[in-house]
Amino acid sequence: MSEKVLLVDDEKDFLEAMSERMKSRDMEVTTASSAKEALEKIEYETFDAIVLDFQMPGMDGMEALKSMKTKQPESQIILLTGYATVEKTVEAMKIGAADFLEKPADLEILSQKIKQAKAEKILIVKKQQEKRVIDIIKKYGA
Amino acid sequence: MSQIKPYLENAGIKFFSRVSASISHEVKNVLAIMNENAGLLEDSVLMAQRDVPLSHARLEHIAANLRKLVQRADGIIKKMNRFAHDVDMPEETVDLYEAICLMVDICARMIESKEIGINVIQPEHRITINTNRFYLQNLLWVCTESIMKTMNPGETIRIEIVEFNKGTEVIFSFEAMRKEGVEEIQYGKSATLLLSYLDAELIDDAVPSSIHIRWPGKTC
Repeated sequence: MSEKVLLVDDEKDFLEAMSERMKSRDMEVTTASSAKEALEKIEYETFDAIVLDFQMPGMDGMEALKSMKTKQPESQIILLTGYATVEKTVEAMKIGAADFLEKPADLEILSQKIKQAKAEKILIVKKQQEKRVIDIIKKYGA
Repeated sequence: MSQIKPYLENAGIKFFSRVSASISHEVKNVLAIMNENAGLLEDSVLMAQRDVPLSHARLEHIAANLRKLVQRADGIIKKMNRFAHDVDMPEETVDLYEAICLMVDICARMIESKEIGINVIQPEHRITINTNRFYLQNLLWVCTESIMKTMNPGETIRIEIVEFNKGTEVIFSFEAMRKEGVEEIQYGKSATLLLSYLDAELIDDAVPSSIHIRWPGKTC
């Protein structure tokens, strides 16, 4: 089954080229050119992975990451950045980023990270479903 | 002057570092797009090896993209180079319109990140002053950034240059100018030192929605 990815970057040429390459690798890609647009998209849709540019005009990467994790705690967010300082990386990981990749990114490495993100998300969703079943059993009794 | 020099140099190094970091991010973004276009070429070759015919139109499109990106990177490097040469002379004749445009160019990414517009009005004739080009850029940025902090996304700062009697002014105006922005320039250490070093004055009461940086008697 193909991976469903949301690609977020303010550079339209980057979105165009990267999404075309991802699609040719059988990924299902949706694009957003701002964090605001991405937040609107995750309101109605879920993705196996969100590839997010860390530095965009308007809402910065950290703020966008926080908002996405608040809206969808199970979302797997891979950050793309020009230069990542150790402090920023640690802070982003604490907030819940799944991974980091420096620009220009190697698509084969990014694809691997997307596959790992999808596997991780499946596990999280499975655990959430199990917990829900246990909660129902506890509430209504066996 | 010797007492303020270390503070001034420190502020100057910080400004230079911020601009360098911002410009290196711009370059990284261009490299990332070039990288993906190179990837598209590689993908086309792989497809051709699997007997999918190469599309000439597609190759032309990728080549045009790469040429556009090379021009964009060249523009970024040129402005960085012009900025780097700002420190060459302790004092020289500076065209104020050019200096403001360069400040807007080198700080473009920092300005765009706040989603603020800058409208620089070109004077009818060339207006110059004798000053230190680098610290002038620094002062122009300190003023712009201080005003931007009080603004909302989508708003625009207007910057114009005027001559009065035998002096010169750079006027920053913004309809809803708030006093915090002016106070940061008025009382902030960097702005105060820069104004003093450049023999400039801050006039903040001429029009409520504007601040004026004045060089009395400083036309060339």
